[in-house]
Amino acid sequence: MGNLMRRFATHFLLSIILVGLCAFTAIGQEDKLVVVGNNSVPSEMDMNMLTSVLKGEQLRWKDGSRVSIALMKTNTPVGFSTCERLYNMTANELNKYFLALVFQGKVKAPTFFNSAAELEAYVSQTPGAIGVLQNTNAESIKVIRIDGKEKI
Amino acid sequence: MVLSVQSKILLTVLAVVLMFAFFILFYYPKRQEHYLLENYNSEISNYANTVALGVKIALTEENFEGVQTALDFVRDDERLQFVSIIQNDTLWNSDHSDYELHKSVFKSYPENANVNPYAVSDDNFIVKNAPFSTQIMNGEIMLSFSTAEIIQGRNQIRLASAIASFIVFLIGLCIGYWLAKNISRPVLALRDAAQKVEQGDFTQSVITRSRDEIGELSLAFNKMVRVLSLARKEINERTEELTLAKKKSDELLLNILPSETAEELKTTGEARAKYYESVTVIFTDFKDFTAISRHKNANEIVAELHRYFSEFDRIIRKYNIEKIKTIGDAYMCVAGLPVANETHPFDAVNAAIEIRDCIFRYKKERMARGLEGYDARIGIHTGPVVAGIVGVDKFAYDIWGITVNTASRMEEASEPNKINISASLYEIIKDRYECTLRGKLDVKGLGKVAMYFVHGTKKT
Repeated sequence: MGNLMRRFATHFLLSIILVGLCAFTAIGQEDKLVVVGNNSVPSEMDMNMLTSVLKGEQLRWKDGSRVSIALMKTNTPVGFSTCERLYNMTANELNKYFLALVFQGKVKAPTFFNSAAELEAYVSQTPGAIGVLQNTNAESIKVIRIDGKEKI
Repeated sequence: MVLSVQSKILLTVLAVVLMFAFFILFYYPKRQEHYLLENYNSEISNYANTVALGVKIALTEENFEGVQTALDFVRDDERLQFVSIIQNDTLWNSDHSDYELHKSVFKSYPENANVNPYAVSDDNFIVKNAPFSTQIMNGEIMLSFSTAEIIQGRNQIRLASAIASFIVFLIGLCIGYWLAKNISRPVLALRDAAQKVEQGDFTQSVITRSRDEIGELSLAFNKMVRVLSLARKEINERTEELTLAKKKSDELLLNILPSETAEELKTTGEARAKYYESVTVIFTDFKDFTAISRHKNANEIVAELHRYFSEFDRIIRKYNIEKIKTIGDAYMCVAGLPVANETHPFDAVNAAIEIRDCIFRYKKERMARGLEGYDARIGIHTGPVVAGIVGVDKFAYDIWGITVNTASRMEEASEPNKINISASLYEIIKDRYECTLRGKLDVKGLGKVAMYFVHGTKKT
């Protein structure tokens, strides 16, 4: 009885640990972001270049096509995560940042989407478009490796 | 100062044109400038509102297309001075009991624009604000446009207005001059023609081609002048006839009356009898005229008497002697009236001598033609008479008194182709004429009276 209880307790503890590990793994997967791009966009770039592109500091790709930024709206988890991790800004700061740039005619403002499918469609159809998603299976767009990683 | 019709019309038209020109020059540009400014303000307000709406959508919906498109429009406008996002912040005091509204420039285009968040419009710039409110930011879009275009537009309007008003003035001046000339010319022609008509020239006619009231007036004037001309012609003819008739009447009157008496009769309607202290009365009478004329018809008798008496008339007229009347073949005239003179005895004797010579001459002529000649007795006497007109019908100037009677007796007592005068006349003329005393002869009603034959003037 005592062994049985000990074994049950051991299994229960292991199970809890396993579930916790799985949950941790899942949460970690959700925080990861994937940068996707049109064919005009280079397949690889480093984080600095990505930040520079996303902040509107680089307006054209090497092939001459114009940079078009596609983002999920900041009220979505991906959008929120993009603000924090890639722009290091709050949603309001991001909007004010781009409002200032657009106001002064410095950049073409990013296009914000409610769904990943819309963003994928936009990126696939817009030359020079680059977007940030949580994940993608679309074949018409390519995943840009940042610092050698597909997910950042 | 009297203004002519032409001047009045010209001034009236010019006054109207000037009012219109001033309207074009001042009122019209003011209105246009007002509309221009209103449209300009409205346009800029619309821009500001559109940008503000775009900002609001961008900050709430994360859709920047609207603001981007609106700003593209604004930035492309050359009149733009700056466009700014003014951020309004409420600054509370430490105990949170009061606050202050603070305005700050969030962003501007162009970047280097020096923007005062409290700027208002002035002569050089028009500033428009359009507020927006989001959870992220409250503020307003401030848009500033240059007024250079308005000023340029206003100047163009003023220039165009000045040119237009000048052209209107010129056209008005021409029209006014043309109108004044066209209206006043026939009026002046009418005036000139009327003045000439007034001076008696009825050949005047006004030529007009217009069919308006002035044309009708001209036609009426021409008709009036024609009628006046005809009336005047008729009056002239009648006047001429009357003058002729009056002349004949006067001549006739003078034939039967002395001129002074005729004038008195015409002037006062009557002629008073007048006493003359001394006149000389002549009587002539053809001897046996009735017996000689018995074998002749009336016309021949009258013609013969007319011939003699006409010559007698001519002779006595020469000596200013007044013919009184003829009674059958007797001829009576008097010297020394109606205007008294002192030469009447001599005038009468001279005339009597010429009459006697005339009778001689005519007798010789008749006898030369195988006809019987006439002889005439002539008697003359000097003395007082009363002269005047009696009766109302067929009145005649006549003389009365003992002198007339005596003269007649002198003629009766005379001999054929002799001039028999009284003693009183003889005493006056004896120094100038050859006379022969006949002695005292018995005269009916007068008794024995001394008489003289006058033969002629004395030879000096």
